[in-house]
Amino acid sequence: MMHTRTTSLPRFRPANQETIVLLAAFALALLFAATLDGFSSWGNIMTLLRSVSILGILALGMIMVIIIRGIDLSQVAIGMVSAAIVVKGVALGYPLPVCLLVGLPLALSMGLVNSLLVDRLQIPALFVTLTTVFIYVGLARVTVLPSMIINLPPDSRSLTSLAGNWHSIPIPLLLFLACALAMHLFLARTTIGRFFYAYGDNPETARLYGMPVRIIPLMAYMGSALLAFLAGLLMVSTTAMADLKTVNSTLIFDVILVVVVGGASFAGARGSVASVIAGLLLVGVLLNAMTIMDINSQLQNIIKGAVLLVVLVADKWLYPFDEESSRQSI
Amino acid sequence: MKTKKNRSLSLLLLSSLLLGPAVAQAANPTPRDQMRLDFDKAVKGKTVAWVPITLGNPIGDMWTAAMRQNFEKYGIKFLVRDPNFSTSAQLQAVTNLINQKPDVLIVQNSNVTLLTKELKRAMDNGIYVIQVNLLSNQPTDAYVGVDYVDVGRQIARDIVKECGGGKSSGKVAFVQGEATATDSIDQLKGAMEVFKQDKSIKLVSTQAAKWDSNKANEITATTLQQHPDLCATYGSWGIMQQGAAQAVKTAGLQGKVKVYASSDGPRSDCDLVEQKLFHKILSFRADIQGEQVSNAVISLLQSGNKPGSKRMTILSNNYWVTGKQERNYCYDLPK
Repeated sequence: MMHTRTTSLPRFRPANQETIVLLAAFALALLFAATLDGFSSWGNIMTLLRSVSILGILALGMIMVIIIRGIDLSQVAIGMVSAAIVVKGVALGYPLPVCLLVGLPLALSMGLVNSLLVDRLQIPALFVTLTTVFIYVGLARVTVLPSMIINLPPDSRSLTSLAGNWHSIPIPLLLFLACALAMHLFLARTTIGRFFYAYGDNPETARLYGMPVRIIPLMAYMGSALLAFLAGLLMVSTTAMADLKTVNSTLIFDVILVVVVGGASFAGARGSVASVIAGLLLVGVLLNAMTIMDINSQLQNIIKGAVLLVVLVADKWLYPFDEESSRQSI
Repeated sequence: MKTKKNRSLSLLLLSSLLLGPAVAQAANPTPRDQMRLDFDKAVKGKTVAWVPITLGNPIGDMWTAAMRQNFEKYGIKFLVRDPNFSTSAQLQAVTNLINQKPDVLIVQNSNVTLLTKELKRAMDNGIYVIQVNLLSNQPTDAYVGVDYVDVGRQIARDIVKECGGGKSSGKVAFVQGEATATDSIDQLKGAMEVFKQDKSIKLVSTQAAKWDSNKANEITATTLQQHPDLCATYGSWGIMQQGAAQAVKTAGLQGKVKVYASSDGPRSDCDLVEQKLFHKILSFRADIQGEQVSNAVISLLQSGNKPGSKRMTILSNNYWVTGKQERNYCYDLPK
């Protein structure tokens, strides 16, 4: 049975989730500015934004995939493995550009494999990317990365300089803003970007309309891998080492938290760069304030979980049950 | 016929006269020779099984390399399982290994409860059990490792010496691993005992970075914004604390904020001391611990004790690394 959805674009919705989340983030920020010493200082705001920049770059990649009703759980693995291979190359004495020329195609090919498995073999994205995490990390570990921790040599400054500031603005933040702008222009202003939403809403209809449905998942998963590579390099630049343990951390769930909080939906065709920014600010403000208040990690997890639950309930309220989407979502 | 028989008898007599002393010597070796014979009898052909929390990080790889080197030398069979940080995989590996009946089982506990029943079962099945670096609630034949409470005290004493008594703001941040991890809890406990004795010391943050250097970096960057006059940050693991050291550098406070870490002594930790990114580290040297574990194995195999009947503790030493002159307190992984 068909339930007609008037349109999939958030701007036509009676209430707009990213606006609500953005308002919530500002309300919380005002509350913390009034109650926490130093919260509203320029330095702290920059620290807050720096700390969410890497998460934001990953979330920009994730939103591409989620819009087309997919998911990429292997994103952190792709980013860390390709960045770790770059670090390994630098540690072995190869010039950085050469190492980057190895790492980039490697990241893209991992995205390509994900896309082929999801699109051509029609295996659900959740299972594909859950499995490829083990394959990518496993293959890297048995071949070139026997150790999970690879340190940058002390004299290699070109990568670590990425973690610095440009006129007191963190470079990771500038990179995030550049990526966000490019992604916004792509999703909102280009024809193929608009096709992403159509494909996410109903791939079959998109195909019947003559849209290039083979290209769309390819672009989404490879785009996600490209941004993961950049995020991986930024993580390396921040700590001067590649740590594959990050793959086992909860980072990928933080990425999904940001994207879903901001208004994307696993049913596809919803979400934009604005939703990433809204989700990112809410999560960033919360994490920063909780660190300042020195709240222990268990309580932090409870608060993060509660925020996600509130948003999911709000999502249910804003977008009532739709049988067709529920059946087709991941 | 007779002549032939006599000839054989005389040959036998002659040969026994000539070879007699040699045979007698083999049957009655000197006490000096006996030592090696007894040693080989006790250890040669025995099987040792080892289950760390994970391989692929410097500490796990160093322990394993040191043990393998010793065991190969003495003809001991060595089984290694890598649970890759998964507690369920570790439990499964230990269960399977006990069923294979090795002579000695060595484990690095993920927490104090996970393996308790299995370690007891191993000893009941006649397997010696050695625990490394974290003692579970089930004591076993041997514990080889660090006294983390004492590590906390030692580092805290040095922090008090450099930051306490009104010499500075007295502000200290503690970067934990997991808030539930025993080694972090023990270090904080030891540190608090010392900090409490100096009223000028203020512990401004005790956030957990979940063993992740990126997280340690974020936490420290935020703490430094709140407390630019922070005197010291103490991380409960060197590799994680490298993230904090980079945050101090990015904030332009290198040299002003003293970065301390408890370390197992990988080369990268000493490199950071030499680059002045770390102020000091207290290294317990995983390479020496690997030797200590090997010695515990050899002692148990020669002891003749029934597994589970006696307990032995071998504590690791801690070494301060403050500069290039102490770089030998870090290890390089064997190629």
